[in-house]
Amino acid sequence: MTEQPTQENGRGSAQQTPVEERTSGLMASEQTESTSEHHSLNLSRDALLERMLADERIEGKRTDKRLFFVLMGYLRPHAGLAFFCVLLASVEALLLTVPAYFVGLAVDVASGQSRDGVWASSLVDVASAAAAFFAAAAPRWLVVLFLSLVVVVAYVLRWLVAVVATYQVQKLGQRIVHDLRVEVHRHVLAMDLSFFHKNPVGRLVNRTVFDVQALAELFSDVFAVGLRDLLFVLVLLCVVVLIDPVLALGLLATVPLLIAIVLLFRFLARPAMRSNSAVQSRLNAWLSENLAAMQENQLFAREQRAAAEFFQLTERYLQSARKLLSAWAMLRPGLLMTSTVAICAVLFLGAERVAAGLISVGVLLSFIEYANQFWRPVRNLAEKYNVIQSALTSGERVLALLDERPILEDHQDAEPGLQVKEGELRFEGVSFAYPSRPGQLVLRNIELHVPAGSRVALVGDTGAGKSTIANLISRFYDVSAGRILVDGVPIERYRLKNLRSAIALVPQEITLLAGTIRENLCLGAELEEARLWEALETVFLRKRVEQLPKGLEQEVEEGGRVFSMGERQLLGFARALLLDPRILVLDEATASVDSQTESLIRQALSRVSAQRTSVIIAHRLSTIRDVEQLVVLEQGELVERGTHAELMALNGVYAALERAHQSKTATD
Amino acid sequence: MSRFRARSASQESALPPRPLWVDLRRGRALLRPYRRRYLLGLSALSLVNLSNVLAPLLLAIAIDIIAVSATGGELRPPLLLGYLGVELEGMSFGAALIGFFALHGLANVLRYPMVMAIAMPSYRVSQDLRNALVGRLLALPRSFYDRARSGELMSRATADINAVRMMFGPGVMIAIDTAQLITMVLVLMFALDWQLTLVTLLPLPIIAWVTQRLSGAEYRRFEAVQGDIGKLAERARESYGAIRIIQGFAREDDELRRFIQSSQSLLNKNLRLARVDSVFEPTLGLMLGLSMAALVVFGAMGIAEGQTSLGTFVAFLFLVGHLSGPMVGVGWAVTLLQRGRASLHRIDELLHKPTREGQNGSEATPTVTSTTMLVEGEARAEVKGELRVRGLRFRYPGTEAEQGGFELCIDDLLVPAGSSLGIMGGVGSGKSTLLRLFARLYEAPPGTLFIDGVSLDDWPLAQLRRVLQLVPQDPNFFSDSVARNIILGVSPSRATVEGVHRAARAALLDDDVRGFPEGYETLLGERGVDLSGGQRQRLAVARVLALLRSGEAETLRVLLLDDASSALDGVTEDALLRSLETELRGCTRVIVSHRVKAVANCAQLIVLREGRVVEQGSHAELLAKGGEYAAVAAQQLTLSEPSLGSSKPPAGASDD
Repeated sequence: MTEQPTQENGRGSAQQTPVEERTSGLMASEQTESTSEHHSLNLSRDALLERMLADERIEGKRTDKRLFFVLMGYLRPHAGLAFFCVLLASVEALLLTVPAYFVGLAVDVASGQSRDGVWASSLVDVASAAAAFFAAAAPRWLVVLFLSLVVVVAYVLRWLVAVVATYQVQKLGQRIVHDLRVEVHRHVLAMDLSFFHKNPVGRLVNRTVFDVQALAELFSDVFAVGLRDLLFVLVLLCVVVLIDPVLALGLLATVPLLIAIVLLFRFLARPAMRSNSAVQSRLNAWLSENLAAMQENQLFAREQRAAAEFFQLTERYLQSARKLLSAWAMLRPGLLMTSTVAICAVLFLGAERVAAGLISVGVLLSFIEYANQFWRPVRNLAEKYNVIQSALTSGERVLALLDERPILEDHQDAEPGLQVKEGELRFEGVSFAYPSRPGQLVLRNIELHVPAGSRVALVGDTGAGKSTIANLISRFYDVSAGRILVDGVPIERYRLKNLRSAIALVPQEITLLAGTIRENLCLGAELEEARLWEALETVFLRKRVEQLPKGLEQEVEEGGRVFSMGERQLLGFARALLLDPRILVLDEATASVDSQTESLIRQALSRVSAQRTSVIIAHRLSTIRDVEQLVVLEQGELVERGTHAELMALNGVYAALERAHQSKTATD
Repeated sequence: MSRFRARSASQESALPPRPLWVDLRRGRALLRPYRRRYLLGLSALSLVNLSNVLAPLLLAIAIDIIAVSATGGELRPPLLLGYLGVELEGMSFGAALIGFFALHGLANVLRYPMVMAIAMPSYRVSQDLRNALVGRLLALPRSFYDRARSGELMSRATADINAVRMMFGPGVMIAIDTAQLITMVLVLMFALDWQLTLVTLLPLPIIAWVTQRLSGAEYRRFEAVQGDIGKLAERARESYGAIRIIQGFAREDDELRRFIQSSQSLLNKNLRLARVDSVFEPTLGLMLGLSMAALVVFGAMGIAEGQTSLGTFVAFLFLVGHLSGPMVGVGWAVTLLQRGRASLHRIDELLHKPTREGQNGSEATPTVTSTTMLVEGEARAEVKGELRVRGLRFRYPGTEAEQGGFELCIDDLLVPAGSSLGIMGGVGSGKSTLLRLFARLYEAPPGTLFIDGVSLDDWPLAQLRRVLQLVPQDPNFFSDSVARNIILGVSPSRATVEGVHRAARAALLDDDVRGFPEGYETLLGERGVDLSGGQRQRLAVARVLALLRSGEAETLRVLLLDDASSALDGVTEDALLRSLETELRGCTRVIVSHRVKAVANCAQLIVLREGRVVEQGSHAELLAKGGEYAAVAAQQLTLSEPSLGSSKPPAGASDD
């Protein structure tokens, strides 16, 4: 036992109602459990662990079968290869039974016993004939030599077949996994933004890459090997029945024993494995969370309590590990014992049959060897139990991900051919609340009309709903009430792809992907070199890029950031330009840039937004003074609208903002 | 073929090698509490092996008895037993069979306690290490975490601990098992028939050679696969991170095409690996097969010439089978032991990290005593909460002047007890640093920071933590119920539902929480609800307010707010500040903010730039001065004034 960190025992204050009387699970009683702090931190209070345990229990059977069928579905395109693999596996299984048989035959020949049966005697005859080819009176050892040559040939052939089969099976498995991986990635890419809010990137990466990889192991280590082993057992069964049905019966008599042992193991291991994996997840979650929240642990002087919590978890882990280990420690001896019983049964029956002259000693030997081999595949498979389990869990997670449907899919009324032509934009009584918080309207009854090719600027405090409007135009979310029309057509009628490819989004923070400048401009599309330079020219970046040692091929993240914040913004413009969109949605960067860059951005902005319907989310009033339509938002409501001059004349919110801005620029 | 893959899992940092004898001593020390069980397990292992090796002998006798009865001839005991003077005259077939069964039975019955006796100590040792590691992690100072990568710390506490367990468990077991089996089998085989043994053993060295060669290739190719998996993960991470761009520009197809390319490359690397993998197992089988063929040729000839008994031949068949395991086991054991040693080194390195800057690490025992380890003065009876800074010069550990790291220089600053100080300044001006120094997340030079006139380092840390609290800008929470996160700092015996609710109400969080599926019992984090930025900040405030009137002997006297309302919209922020005003009556407050409104009511304001105080005074004084503060104030106050009129506070945060 570890030395337990001690913790002061709380002396409760009598004035206030103790929590545990009011809410269950908030604070379990301290003193009733035990006097020491460790025990008072009862794990039943670990709500996360409880949830993890519950989740582990739900998963299982239901999905196992489905997972199998889903994987089988992926097998279909590779049916030819799959068939070839099964064929090779059957050949391999057959070859694996050969050596023991010939060893028995050789022993019989060596000890001068004759063997009944057409097969055996003709095989011996062939060997004798071959031996006679060398010496007229073939000595027995020469026959034996030929028989063992057969053994060698069988082994060599088996090696050849096994090498090819193993590789082909791997190929099959890896291809299926590749297909699945691409499918999962395609699926994730099609999900809507609320899905990405719900699922951290890390989790999604785990699903797409690591969980799918675990399935690969399930396939190559378990399915494939399992199939070969199963075939081996079947072939072996046929062989033993053909050679001697009675001894085969002795061998088969151990099947119930084996089943009993496997069932017992499952009975012991399953719950242990589930709770073990839950506790382990909890342990890891605890670690990563407490590493992240180390500041909190120190600020609130929780170090000792945290250590006690962890100690409790490790003790719990130990308990579940012991249970699991105990199931494992019982499985292997049990399976080995099955083999022993099988050998003894064969020997017992065999002794009488040899004595009765029904079989030769060689046959008995072959059988003993078969009995030894018979349960080996089962042992192999059983020992992969935890690989199987964890792969199944991974599979379940992947399936669950594939089951999630994007909230925003192409609307059923979507017309495939419908494209955005002019880019005229209209909001009719649009209200919106985020799906996660349906009660809170972020936008209320917005009316807005942006004629094709004109510009609108959204002005307002943080949280006024400016960015939300931008998100709604690209249909990252669906409106809660009202409708949005593009070219007079409700946006649901466009296919998402057609709608979005007509809209270019320039966010505040330009995300630069790791890769070259070219890749960052093209975002995967094939674009002509000349167009790229033209776009860079438009946004005043041409010279900058030309001066880079590798030009367009310059890696963006290489040796720190190549571009300043202002330049990133310009790069964002260039990206948008290359898309040549009908509608431009621009979220102006809040980060302060020097005045020279600011003026560049202003000029680039007017160049990029020329002849395009543009929605500008403004943070610097100076950039938007000459925009055709200014809209002031306040807590989701549209409060003022007009040109700069009109709004100044109105002397309302905008005018106040403008004055503040003026005085600020004056002091700068 | 996970045994080779295991090798590459953790090999990040290269530590100087430690001599074997040090590791042996360390291992012995770790196992000490469990040594009796462990040694018992290892002796059981010897018994298991002995009965396993002897069992084929009885099988051989049984076969001989059958063969003799069938073909006639003389029953001769196998050589070894002959030497030992064992006569087979009285031996019946039944007795041999029962003996065979009994030996196997004994071996298998012993296997269970053996595995448990060896494995449980290995689990225990790993738990001890894990707890010690966490104890040390909890005691390490903030500055350590600035430099450490959490991923690496996680891998110490998980992968490395596991590798150590594998070393003490399967590693040691397989090593000893292999050594014993090889020795016993060889001895027995030589004793039975040394000529036959030599012939049979011929192909076996090839196994070792093949294993060696193939595992080298396998290792390299496996590394390549791992590298590609990493790249693919990076590609996926990037796509999902930039999903708004990809979807916004409708570039899903191009993105997918690039992903397919990466996935295809991984597929190819996997196939390259499969090419080695697929040769491995069949080749082992082939070598054993050749061994068996040699045995058949020479054994059968021996039988034919009456030199070898049929039984001996059968015994050999079984014993050769016994050898196949150890041949592979050698490589496996070596891998496990090497990995375990390397992992133990990495764990020990962390266990010896000093818990304070400049202090050497103590022995690697579980220490969770950061609050008591420090040399500290006596607890004060009454705390007023007067803060003072005098002649402070602070630089983050590890940042040197030449590297351009900034230095916080404050010559004199006094915040009277119960008063308030507002701090403004740009990014990196040292605002947060000052708060962190007062909260003692970092150590300021002695005699520069004072509470109630007593130097900060003369305060007992435990008391300091109770009377002074910091609300960080980006707080972290635990995957636990909302209620338990609120009472985080309250000792469990004093936690009350009223306290939780009052704190939540005061932090304007109550409405939000009641909207959650299970109210205050709702879990936070991955399996519960995700809080918005504004909710997080209000929860952080509630967590500190819960310390007030919690019934503790000492209550909060000083509250430091590090831009703790930055994610709130103007109205909510305003309401929160007013609520704090009433809740914290009598507390000393230090408020860092970017918003003038948040600090305007403070009795005293300072503006920091590059670690130095550039303006100081009250709101009115600074406005009159017309400096940096006045400029920012002019812009911000007019900007947000209109929204002050509307009274309905949007309870949600502005996280869009």
